[in-house]
Amino acid sequence: MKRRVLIIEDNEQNLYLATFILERHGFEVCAAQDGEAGIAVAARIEPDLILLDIQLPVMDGYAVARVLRSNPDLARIPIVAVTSYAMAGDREKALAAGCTGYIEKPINPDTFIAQLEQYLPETVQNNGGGE
Amino acid sequence: MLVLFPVIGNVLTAHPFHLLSSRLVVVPKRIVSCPALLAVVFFWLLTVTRFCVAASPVPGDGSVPLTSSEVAWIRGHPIVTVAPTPDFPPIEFFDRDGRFAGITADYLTLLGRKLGVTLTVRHLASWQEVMESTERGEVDLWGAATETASRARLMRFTKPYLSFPAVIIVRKGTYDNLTLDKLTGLKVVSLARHVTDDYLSQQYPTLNRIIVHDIPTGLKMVSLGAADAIVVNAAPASYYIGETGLTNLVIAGQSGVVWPFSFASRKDWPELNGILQKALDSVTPAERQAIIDKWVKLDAGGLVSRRTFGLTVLISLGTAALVIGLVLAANRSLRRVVHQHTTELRAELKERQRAEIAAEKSEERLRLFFEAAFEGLFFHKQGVVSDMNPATTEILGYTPAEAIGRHLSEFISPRSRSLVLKRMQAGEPGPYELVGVRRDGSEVPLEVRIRTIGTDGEPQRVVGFRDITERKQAEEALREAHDMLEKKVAARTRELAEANARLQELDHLKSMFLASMSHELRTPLNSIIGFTGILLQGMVGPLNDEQQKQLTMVKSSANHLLALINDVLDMSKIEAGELKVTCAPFNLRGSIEKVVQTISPLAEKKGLSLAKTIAPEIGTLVGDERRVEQILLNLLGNAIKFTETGQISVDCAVVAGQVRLSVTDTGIGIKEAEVKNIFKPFQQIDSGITRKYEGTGLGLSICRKLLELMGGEIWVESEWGKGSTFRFSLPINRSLS
Repeated sequence: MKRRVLIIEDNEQNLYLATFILERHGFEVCAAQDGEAGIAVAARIEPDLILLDIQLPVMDGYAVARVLRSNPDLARIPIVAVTSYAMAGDREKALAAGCTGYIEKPINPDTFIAQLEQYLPETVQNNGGGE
Repeated sequence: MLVLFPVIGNVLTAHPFHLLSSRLVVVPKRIVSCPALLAVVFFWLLTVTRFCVAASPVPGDGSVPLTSSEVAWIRGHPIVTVAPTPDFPPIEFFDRDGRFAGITADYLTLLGRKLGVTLTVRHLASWQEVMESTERGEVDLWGAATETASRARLMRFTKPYLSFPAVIIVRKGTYDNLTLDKLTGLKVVSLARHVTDDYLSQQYPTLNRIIVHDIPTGLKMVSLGAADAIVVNAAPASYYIGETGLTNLVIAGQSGVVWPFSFASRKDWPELNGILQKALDSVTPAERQAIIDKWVKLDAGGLVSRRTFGLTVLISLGTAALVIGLVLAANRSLRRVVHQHTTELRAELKERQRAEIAAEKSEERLRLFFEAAFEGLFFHKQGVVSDMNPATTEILGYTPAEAIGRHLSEFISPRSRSLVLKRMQAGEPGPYELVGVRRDGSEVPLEVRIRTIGTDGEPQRVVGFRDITERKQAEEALREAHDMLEKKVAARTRELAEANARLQELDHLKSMFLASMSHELRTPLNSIIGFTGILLQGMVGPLNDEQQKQLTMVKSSANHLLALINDVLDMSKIEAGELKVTCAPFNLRGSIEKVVQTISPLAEKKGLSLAKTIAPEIGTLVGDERRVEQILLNLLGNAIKFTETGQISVDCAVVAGQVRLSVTDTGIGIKEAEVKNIFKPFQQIDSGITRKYEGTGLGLSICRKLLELMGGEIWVESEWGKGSTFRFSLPINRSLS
């Protein structure tokens, strides 16, 4: 079974870029363009990884991460913040909100997949595959 | 029979022939004990007559051949009053017990015995008084006087029986070889109505004479510098110099006059003069010698022997002066005594002069101070004004006539009257402030002090006061200025607070702007870099060489743009004080290895070797891991960028208690002139090499700022064309396991 990644991202170009890279590397990608939709999709499909933009309309990424972490069913899913926020404390704020990792935009296509892999251990992948 | 009763004052003495007390003798003997001093008390005896012996029966001892009329005269005048010069030793003077003594006294004793005449001695204070008393007819006889034309109108003189020179005496070391002609311009002491003074006033009328009434006073004046010289009879002068110890006096010259001395009797008693002359003529050489021996002890080996004394009546005056000088100089022990005496005298005189001057001046001075004082001064008794000074008139407008007699309370405003009077009565010295009332009724602020001054009589109460209107005005102005200043400060503070709030708002806006710009620029860059990367990876399809080349250029430019955005953001954050470095333990060794690994592909690409040397003690450091890595990455990136061949090396060790990291290259190096600017922003751009070596020009200045925040520093050693070594240090005190 393909590993499933949920991308919560409102910028179409960036969403397309990430989706393209992930699909080319054999991931199944679901997308949501705002926080609420993202939370709903996550609850429904229980992805193996969530890529979360921080600057989102209505509900920002920090709030989304907190909601996701409050759902016990989703608590084990790694959340990686992918953001163009680069001010001091952005990384800390993201981790405090419940994110597992943090990738600064712009993403580097050469290293992007390797960066994600470290949040997807083999065991998790195998367990996920066994479900 | 007439009995000779010498009378001193009004007291008859039972020892008529012991005119010299033992104490009196002591004084001349002490002086005489030094042989040379004999000359000091030396006098010149002039014998002017030869004696013949008479044989008729007469009163007295019968040694004087008196006529019957002379005998009758004596019997008709049983008492004759003699007034000696009181200060003319050893010729005639009064000794310490007030007894008439000296050569003349002895002569008169002898003559009295010969004639059977009783003498009454009058003790007058000075020769001047003797003269005045004689003029009033109170004196019958003088014992030793020089005949002058004026005196000859008053008295009848015998032939001289003694003679003395007058000499000029000065302080040692001031003048010598003086004559009377040379005294012009000097202050010369002379004795009132003495024959020498008469002579000086006639012969030297322009001479500056200071008249005194006794010889010791005149000598002291010269000795202490109050006068320059004294012209005085040599015999008493020498006597007093010896007695008073005025050793700083010397004979500076002769007056050129020698005064003969005679007995003189009142003009209206011509018989007495004849009787005296006869008696004088009857004195035998032996009798005269006995008197001389008593007063002048020449037997100790003096200059004039006893045997020849009577004949050697005139001795060179110059020799005598010389001897006097030599004697005074030679007698050391005496000098010590007299020096001490002189010092005491001088001190006493000075003290007295000072006291007199002080006494004279103090009263005048007090009055001057009182008049000149700037403060108003009231003297008062029980509050009633007894005196005031001119300043009081200036301040309060009252004249002394208006103020004296009024009570102090009349000058005080009712507002402060009771309080002030209470304090005054309590004796509080002040100062205290009160409101005074002027003569015209206007009020004036005063500062008052109260004192009690102890004067000769009862203590004087004094009130001193000054007009403090100006001070009050100044205080008021100061208070107003202070209030105004406070208002201004408050207003300014408000303004500043508002400005500060606006600034904070602006600062927040700037942060928002930077965050927003960063986001807005990164979002399109994400697409550019991302899609370029995908295309270059060939994920979409194969690229021909030209496509590959051009897409590589796009990617490079996009990366440069990203670096620029990052650096500008860092600089902005640093300058806004917004960039905070974290402080947590991290593995420095691991960080170095990670950075070297990250950068090594770039070095390989240029064919440069990359070496690292990490000392064994390097392990965990407390600091901001990300920033340390950023700095090292920046330095390594620069090294690779500016080096075409050779090698790059990284060293890390502990030096001087600090962690030191060095990045050394074999690149182009830095010109000496540029080294000092290398850490300033945009320096590389300014240096004009940007086009060959890409970069923002902010890297090194960000490195320096970051190191400052972490308590470290950065510096460079470089040689143009040979390479550079960038070093930075970090504090180790709370680090390194």
